[in-house]
Amino acid sequence: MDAAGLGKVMTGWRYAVLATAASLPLVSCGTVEPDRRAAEYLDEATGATITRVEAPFTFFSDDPSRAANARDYLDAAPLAVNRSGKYSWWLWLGVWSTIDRGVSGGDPELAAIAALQLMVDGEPMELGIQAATDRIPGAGALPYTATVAPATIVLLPLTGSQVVRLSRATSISIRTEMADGEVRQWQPWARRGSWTNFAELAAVQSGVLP
Amino acid sequence: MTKFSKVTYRVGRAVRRAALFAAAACLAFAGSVVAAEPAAGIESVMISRTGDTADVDIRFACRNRFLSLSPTGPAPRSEITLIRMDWCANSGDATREATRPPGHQLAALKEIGYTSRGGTDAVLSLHFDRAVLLKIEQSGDLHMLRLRVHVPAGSVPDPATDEPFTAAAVPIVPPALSPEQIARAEERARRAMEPRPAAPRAAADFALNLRSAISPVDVITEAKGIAQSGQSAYVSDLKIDDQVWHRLRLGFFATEADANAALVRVRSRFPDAWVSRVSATERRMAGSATVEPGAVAATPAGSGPGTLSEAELGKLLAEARSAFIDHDYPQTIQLTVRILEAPLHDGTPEARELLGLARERDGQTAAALAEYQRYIADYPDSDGAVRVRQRLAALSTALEQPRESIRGKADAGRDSAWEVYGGVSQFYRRDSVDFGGDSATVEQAALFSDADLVARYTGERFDFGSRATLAYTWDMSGSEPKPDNQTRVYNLYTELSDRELDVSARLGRQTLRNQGVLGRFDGAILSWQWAPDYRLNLLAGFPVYSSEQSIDTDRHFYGFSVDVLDLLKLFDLNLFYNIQEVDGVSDREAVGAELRYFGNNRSFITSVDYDIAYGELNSLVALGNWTFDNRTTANARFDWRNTPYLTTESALVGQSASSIQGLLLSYTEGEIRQLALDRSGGMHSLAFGLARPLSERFQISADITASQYDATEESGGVRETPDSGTLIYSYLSLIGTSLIREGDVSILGMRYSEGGSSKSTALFLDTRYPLTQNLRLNPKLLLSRQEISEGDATELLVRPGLRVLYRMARHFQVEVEAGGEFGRHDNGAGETNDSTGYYMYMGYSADF
Repeated sequence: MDAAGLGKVMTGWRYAVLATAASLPLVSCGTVEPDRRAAEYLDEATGATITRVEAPFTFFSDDPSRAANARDYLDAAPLAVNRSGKYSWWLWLGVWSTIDRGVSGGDPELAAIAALQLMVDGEPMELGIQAATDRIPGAGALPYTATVAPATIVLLPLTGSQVVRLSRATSISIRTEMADGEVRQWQPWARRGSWTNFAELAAVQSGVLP
Repeated sequence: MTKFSKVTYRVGRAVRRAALFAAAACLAFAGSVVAAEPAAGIESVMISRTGDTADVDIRFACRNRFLSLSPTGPAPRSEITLIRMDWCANSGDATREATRPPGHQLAALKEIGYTSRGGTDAVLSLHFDRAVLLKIEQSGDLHMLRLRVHVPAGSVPDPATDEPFTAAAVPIVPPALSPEQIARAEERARRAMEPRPAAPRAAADFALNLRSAISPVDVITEAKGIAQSGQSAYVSDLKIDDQVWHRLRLGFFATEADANAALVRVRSRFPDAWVSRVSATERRMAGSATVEPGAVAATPAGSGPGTLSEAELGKLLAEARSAFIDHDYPQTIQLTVRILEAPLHDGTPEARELLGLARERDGQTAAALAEYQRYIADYPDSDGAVRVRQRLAALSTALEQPRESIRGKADAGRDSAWEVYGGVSQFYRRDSVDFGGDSATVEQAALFSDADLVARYTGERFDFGSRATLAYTWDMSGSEPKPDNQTRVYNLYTELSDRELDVSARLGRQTLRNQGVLGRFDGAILSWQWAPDYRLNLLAGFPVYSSEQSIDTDRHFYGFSVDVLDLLKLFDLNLFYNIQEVDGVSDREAVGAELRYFGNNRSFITSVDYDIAYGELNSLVALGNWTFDNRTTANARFDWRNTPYLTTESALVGQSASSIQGLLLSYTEGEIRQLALDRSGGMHSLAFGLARPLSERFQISADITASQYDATEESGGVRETPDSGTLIYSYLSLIGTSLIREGDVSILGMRYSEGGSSKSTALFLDTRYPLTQNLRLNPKLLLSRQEISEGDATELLVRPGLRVLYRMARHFQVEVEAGGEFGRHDNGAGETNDSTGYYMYMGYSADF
C-alpha cells in the first residue's frame, strides 16, 4: 500500500473506532464531529443494549484481471452489545461485489474470507475468522445493512483492548486471505457516515474498557 | 465602444484625476522623493516583549490614523479601523495583505492583515493564538501604530482560536438514559466493586499480544518478570505475504477480564498491547517456547543473545537504521539494544551511536548522554568520536541550568540563545481591464517574492540582532522595451546593544520617521541611555528614496535627538535637530519635538517640525484618543503640514533636471530654494471620529475629515495649482463578529467624499468566515458612484472579490484571491462606456 493509500486509510479509520479516555484527545482534536455521535438503542426483542455508529465504513479491492471499473467491497462497522452488564465487542462486515464473476465462466460468488488481519500502525492484528458468526448471541436484528442487499455478513469478535488499540492507531488497513487462496488488500472507498465516540460512549456506559 | 469615446473617456478621466488630486499628485511625487514605494499597507512589523506585555510596532507605508478597536475587551481576534491620510501610489485601488511577522510568538500573534478598500478606509485585522488585551498607541507621524499586547501570564495557545464553530467545541453529551439503563449501569458499577469469585477452570481463550516485530524477539529479555503464576510468555509467528511477524505474547487467560487485569500490569512496558483471542493450535504450540515465571526457559533457537550470527547482527543494524530514518525511535532503541547485547562485533560502535541518537530524539536526554559517554569511553579515537563529542557537548549545554544574570532579578530568565526566524512568500498577481471593443489591457502581471529574516542573540551583556527584508518582482506582463523587474531591499541592518553601558547601535538600511528623519536610509543610529529616563541618539546616513536603489551618497543627513521619558510622570518627549544636504547644497535643517501622553483609556500626541534654514513650519500635528466608561472611543486630529515636505529637492518637481546638481546649471541656489518653496503647499485637515460597541457582537464607527490643500505658485515653468477647496471625507461602518460562526467578521460600511469637482459615494461589505480549522473565506463587495461636476460625468463601479486562505501546515499557508471591477462611465454627453477588469493573485507564505 503506498503512502497515499495509507493516508486515506489512516483518515478513514481514525473516524472508525474510538475508545475510552485514551481516545478522547483524538476526539477533541477536531477530527470528529460530536454531533454525529455513536448511538445506543435497546433491542426490544432481546433486551440487549446495542451501541453502534451511524454508518459502516466502505472499503474496496480492485481486481483488474476481472474488471476495469467494478470492484469488490467490504463494509465494516463496530458494535458493542450489552446484555445485562456483560459487554461483547464485534466487528461487523458486509462483503459484496460489483464484479460479474460468472461472465468468465468461473465461480460467480466472491470467495469467502479465510483469514483477516488488521494492519494497525504496521503491526498485524489477526482476527480469528474461525470465531466468525452471522448473528450476535443475545442480540436480535443487526443495526447495519450492507450497501448492496445480497452481501455476505460476517461478525468477528473483538476484545475491548483491541477496540482501544484501534482507536489510537494512526494507520489501519485490512488484509484478507480468501478461500480461493487469493490475498486481497482493502482500501477505504467512501465514508458515508462518521464513526464518532463509539467506544467513548460505550466506555461511559460500561466502564469495562481498560 | 468607439475609439473616440475611449479617448474621450481616458482624457476625461485624466482631467478628473488631475483636478481632484492635484495636490495629492504633488504629495505622491513628494512621496517619491522621500521614499517611492509600490503601494503597500504594512511596511514593517517589529515585535519585542517585556514581561507579559509585547509591543508590536507596525509601520505603514502611508499614514494611517487609528479610528477604533473592536472588540475592546480580551479577545483572540481584533479589528482596528484606520483612516488612510495619504494618497499613496495606487491608493484608488483596493489592496489587501497579510503577514505573519518574525517574532510573532512573542505577542501570541498568528497573523496581521491589512485591507484597504480603496479610498481612505482601511482595516487592520489581528489574529492571536489566545485571548489577549490590546492597547493602541499611535506615533505622531501616523506612520506607526504600536500595539501593546497583554499576554496573560501562564496562558497557553488556545486551540479553539484556530477553529470555527466546530462540534469539537460542543460538549460531548451522551444521550439521555432510560431508568432501565441507569439501573443496569448502577448494577455494573456494583459488580465492578465486588471481588471476583473464583471461576471454574475453562478453556484459556485469551492471551496478551505484547508487541510484534519482523525481527526475532528475545523472549527472555523482553518478557522477564511479567509472567505470573499460571502464565507463560511465548513467541507466536505469523506469516503475512513473505514476511514473518514474531509476536511476543503472554497467556493464557480464561476470560477477557482476567487478561485485562494483566494488561493493566504490563502496559507501562508494552503500551500498545492488546488482548487477543487465541486458537487451540496456538495454545498447543506456545508450550514449546515459553518462559515460566521467575525462570529462564529455553527459547526458540536463534532468539538468544549469544546466538546471532554476524550476518543476522548486520541485518538487525540495517533494520535499526531504517527504523531511525522512519522516525520509529522506540523500534530503533529495541533493535540496537538487542545488537549491543551480543558480543563485540564490527557493528557495535554504530549501534551504540545510533542508540544514543534514538534516545535523544525520543526525548530521553539523560539516557542519550549516557550512551554518548559510553561511546567516547569505548571508542575515543574512532571516526565517530568527534561528532559524538559534539552531540555530547550540545546535550550537556541543554541540560545545564541557566547562569544567573549579573544584573539581578530584573533580568532573571535571560538565557544566552540564538533565535533565527523569518518568513518567505511568493504571490502572482494579474490585473487586466477591458474597455470594450479592443482586447483587454494587462495592467499588471507579476510574481512578487518576499523574504524576511531576523537573527537575534541574547547574551549576558550583549544583544545582537540583524534583519534582512528583501523583495523581488518579476514582471511577466511583457512590458516593452524590457520587463520591469525590481529587486528591493527594505531592511538590511545589524544592531548591537551593551546592557552594561546602555549603549546600542544599528547599522545598515533601516527606516525611521521621527527624530527628524523622513523615512528609509542607509546609515547608523547610536543610542546612549545615560540615565534611566534620558537617551541621546546620534544619527547619520544617506536617504533612500526607493528600496530599489543602492546607497546614494549624493545626499546625506546627520543629527541628534534626545528622548526624555516619563517627564513629569506623564509625558514622553523627543527633541531633535537634523541637517540634510543634497549635492553639496543644504536640503533641510530642522528642529522639532514630539510629545506623547498615554494614560488610562486616553492618549495625546503632538509633534512639530520646523525648518530653520527656510524659516518655515513643515508640520504641526496633534491627535488625541479617549475611551469612555461606556466603551465609546472618541478621537480627533489636527494636521497642518507642507505637501510635499519642504526640502530643497522639492524644487525638482516638474523640472527636467533629475538632480539638484543638474538644476544648478540653470538656477542659482537661492532660485532653487525659491522653487522648493513654490512647490510645497500647505495641507490642513481636521478630523473627528467615534466608535462604540452596540452589543457583544456589533460595533459602529464613524469618522469625518475635512481637508484643504493650499494653492501653489507658478514658477520655473511649472504651472500653479489651485486651492482645492474643502474636501470632505466621511466614513461609517458597522462591524459584526461571530454572527454565523465563531470567529467570523463582517464589516458593512459606507463612505462619502465631496470636494473639488467631484463627489463619491461607496458602499462596501467585507466578510471573513473561518469554515474549518484551516480554511477561511473572505468575500467582499464594493459599490461606488462618482459624480464629476465638470461635464456631469458619472462613474459606477461594482467590485466583487473572493479570497480563500488555506493553512496547509502550521507555518505554511496558501492564498488565492480573485475579483473583478465592472464599471459604467457616462461622460455626461450621453456617451457611456463599460469597462471590465479582473484581477487574481495566488501564492503562499511560510514562516519559520
